Amino acid sequence: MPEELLKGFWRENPVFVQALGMCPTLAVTNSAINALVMGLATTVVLIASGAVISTIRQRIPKQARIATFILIIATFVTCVDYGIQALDISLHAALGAFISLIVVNCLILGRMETFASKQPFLPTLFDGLGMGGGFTLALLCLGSVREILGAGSLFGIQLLPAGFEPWVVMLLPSGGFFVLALWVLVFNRLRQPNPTGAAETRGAI
Amino acid sequence: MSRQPSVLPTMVGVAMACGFAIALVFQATAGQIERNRSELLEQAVAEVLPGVANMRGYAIADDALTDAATDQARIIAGYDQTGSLVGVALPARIMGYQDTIRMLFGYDPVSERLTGFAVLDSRETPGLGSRIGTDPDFLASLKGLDVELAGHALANEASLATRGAVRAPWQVDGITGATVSSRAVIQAINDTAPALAAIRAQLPVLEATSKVRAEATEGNDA
Repeated sequence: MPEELLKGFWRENPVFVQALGMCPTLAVTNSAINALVMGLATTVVLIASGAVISTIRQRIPKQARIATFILIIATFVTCVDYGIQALDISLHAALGAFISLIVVNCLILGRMETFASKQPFLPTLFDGLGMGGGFTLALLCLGSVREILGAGSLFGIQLLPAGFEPWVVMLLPSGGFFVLALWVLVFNRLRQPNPTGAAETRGAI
Repeated sequence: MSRQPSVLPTMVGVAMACGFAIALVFQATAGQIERNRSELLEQAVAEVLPGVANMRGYAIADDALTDAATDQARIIAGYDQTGSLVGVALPARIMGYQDTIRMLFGYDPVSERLTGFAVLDSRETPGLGSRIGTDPDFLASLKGLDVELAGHALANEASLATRGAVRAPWQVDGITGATVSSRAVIQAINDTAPALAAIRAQLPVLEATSKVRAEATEGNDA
């Protein structure tokens, strides 16, 4: 069971290893709070729809399974959307259309198809929690670096001195690609401390 | 394989359950969302009209005013503690760089100047266009901007200040890197002219309303 939980954070991290859900990863990570809320919203949808689909998995007809998954995912996304509006409406405005777009996040549909529809309830719950947690972690990694460099603050709290000239490029889409590339580099370097692959490449040259 | 569930009943069942769940959550959150919306608007009105204690929404039809809920109103009149008119807030929407910008102007109909500006909702580029809501020079030049009327149009249309030249009272300091967004705000100011004319025409009504309300409040206190 801990394996189901932990794989999402490290060995099969949805963003840095599987490269899933890139659209919200790049689009809403211009501040740490946006990244956190997006990550948590996705986690809630992952866990809730995983729980439902795993419970009724024997009753879902094979031909119509994708349509059923989307229906269930869309329901939870709509509920989360209303929930965020009720909690903090300015946050909802900052995330714009991206909350509704969780429906088409391939990470969620992917987990439903490869895991929830084949596994019992409890492992699915842990899988959803792990994958959602890994996704949130990855978004936070991007969001905090982009906010610190692009606005000099973190979670809206000014960190760098007033004399610091913000790197506006970090808040723009191109900054998202730069930071993502760096994190993927760091993450995979740490994941393979003994890169035999690199040695082989050297040998080939 | 033989016990494959059939598609139609399953899909109908799932869809009905989903619809029910959404309706339930909508019912549960609708009230709070509505309260959040009006609270946000009231905060913005207080920001553009300093000193406001009460507000009242109006719709405009042919220069005449009719009561309207504040979140659907064309103009929102703001009154202070004593019940005298502080100014009028005008919600406006205009196409920005990425999407529609919703904003609020504060207007003093007596001196014919803007008293403030707030962005209600925008999806302008973070760090560039989004600065229309935060840039101190830009906001300072909007505050006190001359919007004197000549008929149903502005006597001097608002425009961007020329670099290096002395800024006229109807000119706004643009934001470097946010030209499109600043121009959109200026366009929105010029578009409010008919509403400003209606406010000026109905100024006695707006001021009288406040007196009636103030007297009613005093009566309640006694």
